[in-house]
Amino acid sequence: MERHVILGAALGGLACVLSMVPFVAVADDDDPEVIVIRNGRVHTMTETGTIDGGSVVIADGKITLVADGEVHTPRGAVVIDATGKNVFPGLIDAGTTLGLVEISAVDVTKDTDEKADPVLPQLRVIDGFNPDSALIPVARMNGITSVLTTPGEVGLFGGQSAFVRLRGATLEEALIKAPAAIHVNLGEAPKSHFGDKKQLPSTRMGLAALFRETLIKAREYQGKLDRWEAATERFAETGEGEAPVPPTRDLKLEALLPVLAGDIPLIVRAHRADDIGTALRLGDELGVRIVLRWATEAWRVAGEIKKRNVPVIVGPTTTQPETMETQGAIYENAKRLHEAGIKIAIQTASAHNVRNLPYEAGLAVTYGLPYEAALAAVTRNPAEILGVADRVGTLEKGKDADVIVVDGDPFQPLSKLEKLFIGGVDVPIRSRQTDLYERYRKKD
Amino acid sequence: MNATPSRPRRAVVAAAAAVAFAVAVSLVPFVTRADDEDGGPTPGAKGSSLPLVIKGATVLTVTGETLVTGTVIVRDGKIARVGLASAVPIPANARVIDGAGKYLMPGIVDTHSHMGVYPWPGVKPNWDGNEMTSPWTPHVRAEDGLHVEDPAFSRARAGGVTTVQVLPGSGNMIGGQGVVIKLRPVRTLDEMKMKGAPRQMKMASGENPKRVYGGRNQLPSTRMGNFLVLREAFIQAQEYAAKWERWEADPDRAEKDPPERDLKLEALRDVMRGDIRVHIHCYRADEILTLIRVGKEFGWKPASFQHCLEGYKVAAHIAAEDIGVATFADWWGYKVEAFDAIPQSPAILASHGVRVSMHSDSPDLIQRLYHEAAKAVKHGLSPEEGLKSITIHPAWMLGIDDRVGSIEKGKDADLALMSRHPFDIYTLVEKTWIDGRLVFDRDRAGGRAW
Repeated sequence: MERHVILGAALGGLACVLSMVPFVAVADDDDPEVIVIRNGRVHTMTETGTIDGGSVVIADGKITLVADGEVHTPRGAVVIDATGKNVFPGLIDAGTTLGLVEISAVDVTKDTDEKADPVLPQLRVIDGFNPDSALIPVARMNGITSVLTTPGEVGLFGGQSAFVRLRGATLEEALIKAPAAIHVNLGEAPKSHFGDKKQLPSTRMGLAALFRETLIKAREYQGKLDRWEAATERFAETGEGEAPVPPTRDLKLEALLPVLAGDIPLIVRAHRADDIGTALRLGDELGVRIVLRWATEAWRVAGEIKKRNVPVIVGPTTTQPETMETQGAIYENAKRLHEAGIKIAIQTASAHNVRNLPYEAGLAVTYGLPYEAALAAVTRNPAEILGVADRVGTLEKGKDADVIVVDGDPFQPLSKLEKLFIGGVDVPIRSRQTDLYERYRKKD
Repeated sequence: MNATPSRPRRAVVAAAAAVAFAVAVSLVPFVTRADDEDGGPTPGAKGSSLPLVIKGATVLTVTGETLVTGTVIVRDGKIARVGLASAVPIPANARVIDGAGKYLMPGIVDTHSHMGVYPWPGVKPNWDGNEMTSPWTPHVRAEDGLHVEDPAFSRARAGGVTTVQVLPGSGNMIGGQGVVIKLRPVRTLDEMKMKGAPRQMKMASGENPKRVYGGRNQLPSTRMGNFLVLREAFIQAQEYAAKWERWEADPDRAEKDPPERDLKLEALRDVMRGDIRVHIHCYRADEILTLIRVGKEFGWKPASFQHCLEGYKVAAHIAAEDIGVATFADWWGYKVEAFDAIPQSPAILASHGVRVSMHSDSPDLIQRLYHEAAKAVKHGLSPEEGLKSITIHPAWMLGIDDRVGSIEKGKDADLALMSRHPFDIYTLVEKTWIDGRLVFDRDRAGGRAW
């Protein structure tokens, strides 16, 4: 009874809040026009480097030309004069829960964690992703155009992430790649949660045991499928005996097959150096591709990470020594990993604060990461690490036209985002928050 | 926003916790001691015969003109002189810091911290900020739970922060008394407290109290109940104050027992007398107005609204009462009552004449409050008000603006020397002084903050 009352109250409050200002609608049809961004300082993030006085041409949602100097402007083309401005690929946040949560304290708006079972690799972010989230336009305000949306931190195998662009009324319009990875959480969050329930895994030993056991079972399942396929082929050729019965489908293990095949990585969330060590060791032992995420103490084991060429989705830069497993948090983590030759991307690990991604990158620069490396960590690198470099992350012919125009350095709080294109669509720089501002700015 | 830390962690057995804690704490050096090599007071500090001179920096005085090439002289813990470098002679025996190309600003003031009462690491044995056993606990004091060696203090000093109000949490409608401290690297509460600072009271409203007590099927479980608790508490305090007044006015009082002391009511009586300043955690516009009304009913006025994320909707009302607003630059959406937060709120409030400050409520944000101010400036706050939002305005809210919050002759020598303008993402605090004492020096810390 009380529960209903509370739930009702929460929903009532939410409806009230949400109804006040309509969500910002964005044109979803790709604009067929040609767009020419001219005379900007174009940061291609490719081998071409940065072009002063460069042009970017967009048609049918794609970049059709990146040129040094002026280009022929077709009749009817939209021309954006970027004189004195910087042009970048849209920024990418390599770790968010955007689209899975609206109001953190209201459970009915949260779809991040399925808390009953520590092993749920078959859970799919795409099935919970809300492309209408009011958080998405807010994230765009600082030039973020695509993100990895991941399951939460509770499950050992938390589920399958999705790489989405921040535009589109439907999942299909927003989606770039799913599954992008299977997510594993080590350390305090899963062991606290399941430990409280007196259930395995309640220790780091338990986490590692279940990690190993699950992947070994997946290998066995793969073996069964392989043998069944071979037997089926034989049966088709010879017709002898009875048609082989396929193994019973196991969705958990089936979800892990692309990881075993090396098609997608396991993204492992770990803070403590020894948890990172566990991820690397199990990766070696089980022959799967690991990407580290968060990796607060990675700077302490950078050599081990580099030896395996494991990429790191690092950050947020502002991670603090506030929990037992983040005692080694330092602002220089990104710098130290970069110096060790490790490929890094930067994440906000957030939903509401995704717009602060440029400041996380800027702060990494403040603490020693070279500027170009920081730019790469929020553009090209996450695209490469997450297997979407054919679509996003650089300004070059054939890529999605995710382009931002900024009046200065995008990492500076006082810089202004002037233009935002996602998939070639000129997306208004507006959010529920700017609408509220317009409503209340007047003094009467 | 801390009613409870956001991610409650599993309680562990005491022995294990103690061992783990010792290990964890040992990883973070307690204090970056930046005193002189001989261990004595640094030049400029109280007890040193030598003055300190910071020469040639852009001096952001906050209350006066910005001096593009300025010099500040510090003697005996106080700012002794501020002027253009060309006009201020350097005393012969001074320790001179070359500030050329750098920015000198007043030490940053934060009206809202839980450092010390929720010290790192954030494990349950360290939670001492929220006495959630009754919805009104005006008699509890943050200073009695303050862990002066919280490792977060070092990082705040490395962010140029010098004065902080440590508050109890917001689980109760009346949470208890805050304490104003200077972030001196010391070992006792007595050395840390800002002597002579006014007494402060934390109150709350909205979702936190009603969630905490509603979750136990107790009053308050609604906003109606929240304000019922608040009014009943003050009505009791009025009766208590009247009882004492009657006794004090009684010519035969020498033969009579005085009324029994009630520490809860005594504290609220002091609020009504204006002896304690009130800071109220609040979010929704309607609650902000209700709090003004309830305060008027009992003859007190808040010094500040804390968080106050919908303050922009009722900016004129807040301005009319001359109440300060301490807020976040961009935190939003973590609760229903935080869903209408907008980053332009400081600009709207300031346009009505409200003094706005950026508070931290976080041992993370406190390290970069100057960037929080920059975000408010990005969204329309003037750069001048942006600087004031982390210096003189919070000092005004705490009633200490005659002593800290600007670079003026006679004020406490609380200063931060920064490599670039405070609103620049690439800026770093290089040195922090409190009362003229060097309490953080990035050079001496090997380029690291702690």
